Amino acid sequence: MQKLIMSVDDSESMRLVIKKSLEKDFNLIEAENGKDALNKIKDLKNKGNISVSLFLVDVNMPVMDGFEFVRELKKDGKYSAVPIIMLTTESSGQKKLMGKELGVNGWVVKPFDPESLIKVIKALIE
Amino acid sequence: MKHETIFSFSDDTKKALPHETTNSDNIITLKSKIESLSDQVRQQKNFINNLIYQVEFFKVSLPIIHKLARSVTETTERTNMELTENIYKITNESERASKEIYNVLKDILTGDKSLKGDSEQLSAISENLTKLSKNYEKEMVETERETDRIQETIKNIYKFTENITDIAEQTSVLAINASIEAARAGIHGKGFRVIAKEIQLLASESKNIALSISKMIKDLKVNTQSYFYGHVERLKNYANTANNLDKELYDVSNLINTQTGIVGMSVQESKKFSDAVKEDIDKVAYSLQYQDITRQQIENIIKILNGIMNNFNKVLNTTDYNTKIDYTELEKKVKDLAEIKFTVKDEYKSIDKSSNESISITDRKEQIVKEKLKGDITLF
Repeated sequence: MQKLIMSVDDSESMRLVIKKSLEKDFNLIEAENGKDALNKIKDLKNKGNISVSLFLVDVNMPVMDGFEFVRELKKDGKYSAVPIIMLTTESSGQKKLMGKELGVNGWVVKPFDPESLIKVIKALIE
Repeated sequence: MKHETIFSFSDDTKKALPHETTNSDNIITLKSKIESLSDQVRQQKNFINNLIYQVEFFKVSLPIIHKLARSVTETTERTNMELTENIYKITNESERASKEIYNVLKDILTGDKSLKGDSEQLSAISENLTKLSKNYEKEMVETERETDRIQETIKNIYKFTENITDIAEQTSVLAINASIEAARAGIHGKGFRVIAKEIQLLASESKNIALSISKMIKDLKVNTQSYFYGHVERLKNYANTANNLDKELYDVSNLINTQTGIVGMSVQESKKFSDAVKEDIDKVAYSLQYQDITRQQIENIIKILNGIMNNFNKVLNTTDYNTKIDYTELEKKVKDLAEIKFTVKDEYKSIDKSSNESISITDRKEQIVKEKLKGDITLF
């Protein structure tokens, strides 16, 4: 069975590009921002404790940004060790360091190459 | 007239004044200097007022810039979304079609019912036909030989029956002679006469039988000849048909082999096309993400502008200045200026105005879809 990836991005078209790039290899669930992602995680737990295998998270998002979402996710025992890839336009070393300190596993700058992203995801979850 | 000293000169000013000057001269010089300073102050004040006005202008313009930026990001997001969906639809269809072509061609080439399989089957059939043809020829020779043998046997039997007829005739002559001799013997030859008569009857029957056999053998000879010649003729026809079929199969097999070669090349081409489509999808996916980057850049520009505005506000809030600004008038000026520059309805929305002359991007798109017209077309 294909593993479940959660894509968290406020851009609908970006989520569509991510979905189309990954849907042959993985199952996808989408969220508009950090808060929406936390709600969806809660929903999945209620629906038979379905687990997300990896998170693809944008940094700049309204309501709850990527970093805040990662902080919240790390508090969740179930997901504290689940791989997180920040998928963002942010490319500064300072931001990357922030991500590393928060415990994210990868940082992919947009625009991403679909094939490379698939390789990175597979390397992290398989 | 005595002037009161209202200012005390600094030491530097004193030094700057001519040594040999009267109070009156000093006052004139001072007055001139004050007027000059006053002019400078007035100019500075005008400059500051103008600067404040421009800052306020910028402040009033900022919400419009915000709305314009939001309009740009929303429009590009919407169009990018449609573009993404359409491109993926096209590329998916294209990928599906090329895979289908590839699978069909591959099946033709290597599947259970493939051309190659057909060609191999045809070769096997052709081989069998060749064997069959050779068997027919062999059978034909054998039949001809067999016919000759039968003919020879019939000939021998015929000679044998001829001999029997001769013997029967000779026996009959002997029986007649015996009868004559028996008659001569008189009463003593009575029994011998009966035997001679019986022998004559026997010879006659033998001759009749021999003649019947001879006739039957003649008929048999004719029938056998007719049957075997017909059989050989049929075998010849079978052998010819088998040979012709074999040649045709050989041609078909060659044709299939040629076609298989062409299909093989098509499979390779199809595979290349399929791979190219996959590569193109990845390139498209890469390019489509630039909208998100552009949106991020616009948001960053707005953040920077907000930052600049906040700094201006801090300065303006801490400075007591007398510049009186008519914000209603200023807002009107900003909107008027914007209106001169605007061209599309979406832009007018940012200043809460609508234009009858312009059509919004969304409306224009809906209109094009409705009328099935492509491009910006005006009919008079």
